[in-house]
Amino acid sequence: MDTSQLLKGVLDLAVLAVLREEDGYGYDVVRRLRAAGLTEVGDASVYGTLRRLYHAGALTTYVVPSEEGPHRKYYSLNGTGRDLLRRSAKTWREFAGVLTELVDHATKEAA
Amino acid sequence: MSSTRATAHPAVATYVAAVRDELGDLPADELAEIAEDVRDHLDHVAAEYGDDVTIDVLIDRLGAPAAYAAELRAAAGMPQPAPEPALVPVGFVRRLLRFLVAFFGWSAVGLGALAFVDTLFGLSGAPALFGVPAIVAMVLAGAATVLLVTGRDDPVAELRQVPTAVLLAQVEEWIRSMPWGRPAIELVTSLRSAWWLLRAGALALITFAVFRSAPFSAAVFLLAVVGSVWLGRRTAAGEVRGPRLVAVQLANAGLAIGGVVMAGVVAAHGTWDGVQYVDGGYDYAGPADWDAGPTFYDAEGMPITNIFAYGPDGTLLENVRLYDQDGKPFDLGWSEECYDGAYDQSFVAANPWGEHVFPRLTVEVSPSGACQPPRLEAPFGEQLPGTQATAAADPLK
Repeated sequence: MDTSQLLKGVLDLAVLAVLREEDGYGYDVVRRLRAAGLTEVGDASVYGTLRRLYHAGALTTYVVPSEEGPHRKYYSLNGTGRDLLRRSAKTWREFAGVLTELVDHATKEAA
Repeated sequence: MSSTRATAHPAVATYVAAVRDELGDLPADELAEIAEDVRDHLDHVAAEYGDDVTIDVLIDRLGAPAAYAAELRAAAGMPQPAPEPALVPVGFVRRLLRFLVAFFGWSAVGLGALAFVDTLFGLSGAPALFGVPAIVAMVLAGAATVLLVTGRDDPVAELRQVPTAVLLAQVEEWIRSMPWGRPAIELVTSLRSAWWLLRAGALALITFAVFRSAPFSAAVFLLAVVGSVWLGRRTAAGEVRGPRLVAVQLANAGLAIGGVVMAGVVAAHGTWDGVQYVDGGYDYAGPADWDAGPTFYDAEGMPITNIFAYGPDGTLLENVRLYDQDGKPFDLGWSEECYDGAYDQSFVAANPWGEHVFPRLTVEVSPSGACQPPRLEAPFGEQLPGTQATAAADPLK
């Protein structure tokens, strides 16, 4: 099964969850998602998601200048973002529960 | 922000430029912001590879720039790029309108030039011969243009589709490519405020030609200067856009052509008193040819100004040619003038058939002080009193 298709629907939730732990800049968020196991996540998708969540008012940004490397534009969750994360997480758990139940039940019948 | 930092790696710059091109339909400020962020992101990626980073490395890692842009667009929920306008089928009506704009536009230019030359050198003696068709063509071209651009998102792009419009663009391109092109265009641009005055003057000239009232034309000129400068400043600042801009440019073209024709009229005759005013086949003409005073007087010493001949049946004869005993055309030597206070000019009715053809039309002053159109002022009217017109009338009538 193509995980990149699954990822599309839950990337918002994944990005929000990563940012709950700690503020992060685009490249950093991509790295943390991949480290968590979402190896197929695309750089542009993550950046586009960050941008959309920011414009939706769920994130705030601040820039940390760097002496050697590029600037780091940090994204952090605000109240709206935390609220969105809570609701999205609830939806996800219910959905995942239903699907897990369905898949496990079907597997048992087949076995 | 990022502008203060060192230039990105060439591979990064190339990749960002390609992404930027893919997102070219986005608003400029949004595009600039995204390009900055993408560059920051790519700099982080490039830092993993150090100096070994090449465009191929970036494409391996991130995908092609077009794919990156599409992914970004989808994830950020940004609108998809507009389809290619060339794929939109163009209806028959629009193609017809484009053709009409080109046809009438060039007709107006050609006829306007003919009217100018004709007036300047007095070839036909009737400026209306080319002037009126030029104005009609201009109005039709204007109407077709308005119909063509109404409701279009990009009127300028629509006008570029007009046949021969490309030719104008090529001429402009050629001028720009010449060494003198740029200074010439700058010079013309610097004359913009002079043009604002000129077009107000052209409007006043046209007003004068139509209404023949100096005070009214002066008032029109003053108002037009104020309006023209206000409009010019707005147009120069780019505040006039879309169909309104097209309307302004059409008016400019009209005033330029009309002004040139009027200027030709003035140049050809020196002053307004010589303006040939077509009216029922007879013309107003300047009094310059009638320097001599009257040569024929009646018994009471009053000058003879006109001759009326009645036929055997008492009917007024018109266009009678008079000759003396030597066969020379018989001329009274002068004509009665009409002094027009509004223009401070004198008018006589010129006879297009020659000075020996009678009776002449007379021009009289109206109570308001203006000369009236030429009229036939026969002392006994069309028929001598006490006579009866025969059935076999003058075959010329």
